[in-house]
Amino acid sequence: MIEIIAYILLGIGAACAIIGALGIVRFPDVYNRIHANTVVVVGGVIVTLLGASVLEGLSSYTLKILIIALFLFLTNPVGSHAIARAAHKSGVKLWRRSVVDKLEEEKP
Amino acid sequence: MQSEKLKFDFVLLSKGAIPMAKGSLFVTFVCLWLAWIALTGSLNFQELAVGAIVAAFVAMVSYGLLFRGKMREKFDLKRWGYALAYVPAYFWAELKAHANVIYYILHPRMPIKPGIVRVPTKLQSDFGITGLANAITMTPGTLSVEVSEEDSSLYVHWINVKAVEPEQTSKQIAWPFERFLRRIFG
Amino acid sequence: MILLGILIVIFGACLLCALRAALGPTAPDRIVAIDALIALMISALVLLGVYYRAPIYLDVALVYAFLAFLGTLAIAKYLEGRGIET
Repeated sequence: MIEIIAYILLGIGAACAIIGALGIVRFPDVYNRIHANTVVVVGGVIVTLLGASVLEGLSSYTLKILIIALFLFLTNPVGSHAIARAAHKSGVKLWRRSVVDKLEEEKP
Repeated sequence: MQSEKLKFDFVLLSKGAIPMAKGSLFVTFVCLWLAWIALTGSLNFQELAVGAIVAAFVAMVSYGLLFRGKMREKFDLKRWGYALAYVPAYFWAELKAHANVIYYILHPRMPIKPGIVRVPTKLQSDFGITGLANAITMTPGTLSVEVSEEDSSLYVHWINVKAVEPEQTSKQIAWPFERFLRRIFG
Repeated sequence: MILLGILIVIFGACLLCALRAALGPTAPDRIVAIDALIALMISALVLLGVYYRAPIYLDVALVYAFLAFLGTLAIAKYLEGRGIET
């Protein structure tokens, strides 16, 4: 029973990882690619790590895997925000079919 | 600014002038020691002793950056209740956002309307605004690009812009998290 | 057996990320792709550690996560001070 749950989690993680990587290739500009990056990290990697820890049961492995998952969960938004802010400050344009850019209008 | 405050706290601590600081110092020490034990993964006496020394040193230097305010507020039961209720709401928002973005990725013509909108927020404290920005960035589909401190609003890149007016964006993007965060952090 | 299949899928995702890192027109594109690539490599390391029963893989994954975070922040800070070039 436990193993079935673990393999379901691992399968969801692998599917999210490959779909998110496809999104990184397909999306048209940096900001949209960061959304796909979030899909890879949260839906792919963290769910995979949770599945691995469930598969492992109670041991010292589990604690370490959960620490890695918590660390990724805490640091990924900081990194995404830093990259997006740096991209906007260094002048990367939005996609040509973007609807609105309030940041450019109100804070040039 | 930050380092000045640190030095200030350190001097006050060495004179024993902050009675309130003892509790937060102890909590920081226990958390750091538990992290050490979890990382080394052994209960050997020497490991524990070295961990206690290192954790005490790091806690003495850095507890002022982690905890602000009084200890009494940290153990308010209502705030912990809202924090517990925040977890399933966060999980549900995450699930919906993932399904949404996966639909956009797999759709052949990719029906997205990206744009950067302004999202005003009523949160005041630093922890609250940080938590809101992190939650918005963590859900795929919304990404906080810039935090404006003077009028306390976030500039959010939205993958499918449904509204530009600040009231509508605040209701659609920030409200699922702000509803809990304003009770937790104020 | 299933673990090996999941590892192969994750390596396929790594190849897609490497494709974007090679193509990417601007520098932030490459950073985003390499960030995702590192996260996928961390999950692959953890799965290998579970498969071979070797805890050293987990330590390597933990240190790799730390260094990747610091590297991302450093490159983002570096990009803020300069114009857009490839």
